[in-house]
Amino acid sequence: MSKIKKLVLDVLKPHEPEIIEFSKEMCSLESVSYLESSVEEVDKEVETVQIILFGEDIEYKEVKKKTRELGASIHSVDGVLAGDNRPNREKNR
Amino acid sequence: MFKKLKEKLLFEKSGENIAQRYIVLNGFDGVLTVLGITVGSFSTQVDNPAVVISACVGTAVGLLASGISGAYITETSQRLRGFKELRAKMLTDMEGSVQEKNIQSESLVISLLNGFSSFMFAMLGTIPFFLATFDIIPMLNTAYYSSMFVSGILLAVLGGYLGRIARESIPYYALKMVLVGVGTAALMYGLQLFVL
Repeated sequence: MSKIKKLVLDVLKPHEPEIIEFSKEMCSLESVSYLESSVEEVDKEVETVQIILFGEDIEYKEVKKKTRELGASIHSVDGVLAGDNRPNREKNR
Repeated sequence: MFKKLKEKLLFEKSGENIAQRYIVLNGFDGVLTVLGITVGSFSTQVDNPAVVISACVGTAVGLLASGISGAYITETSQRLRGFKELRAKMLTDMEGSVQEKNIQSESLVISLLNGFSSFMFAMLGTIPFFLATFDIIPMLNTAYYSSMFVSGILLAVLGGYLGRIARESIPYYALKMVLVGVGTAALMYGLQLFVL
């Protein structure tokens, strides 16, 4: 089965924890190698951020749980990059 | 977790510093309360240190209890309200989130700071009377003068600290605080003379 290599998430989060702390916490997940995050919209008490997670086999359940722990919620999954580690798969068929 | 909590309490996003505010505010309370007892006892020339100590310690314990419970209830209710507002914006229950957990932990730390700062400052002003109990210094009037001097120093330290926070003249702020102490002592002494 293919593995998730990249996830683009639209996340609604409170101002606290700030985006740096939030990103560090998200990056502490075992299945996430690194991530890119940017604030899309700022409201009075909440903000919308786009988080792009990169990893070898991203566990979405784990990501969702961590997001919830940080008081945020995933609005939508805007992009996915999935695949496996067999570059010559076509040849082998 | 403690490090994060410390950072949050010391460097809030709004620029407010909860810990600083509580320590100074309640330290001030503690010092002035003991100063009031000291001046009151001095004006009636109480020569038994145990009497003054029991009055000061009783007051300090009262300040400790009221500081902890009062701040805990106030902080919890305020934070809970903020959390509920945030939850309404987030459109989720936010159950088990750091924000929900922080309500209790932050309120607890703040209430302990609140209670212990007034207790500690009150007890520092009582030290000369303990020394008098062990006959290290005479009660009349060295212990009284020493206690008032300690209170003055503590007020100056608190004032100086506020001056440093405000990035203003430290001696000026220290003097202002000491003058408040002198005013309190004068008022207390005057009232005693008037009543007795």
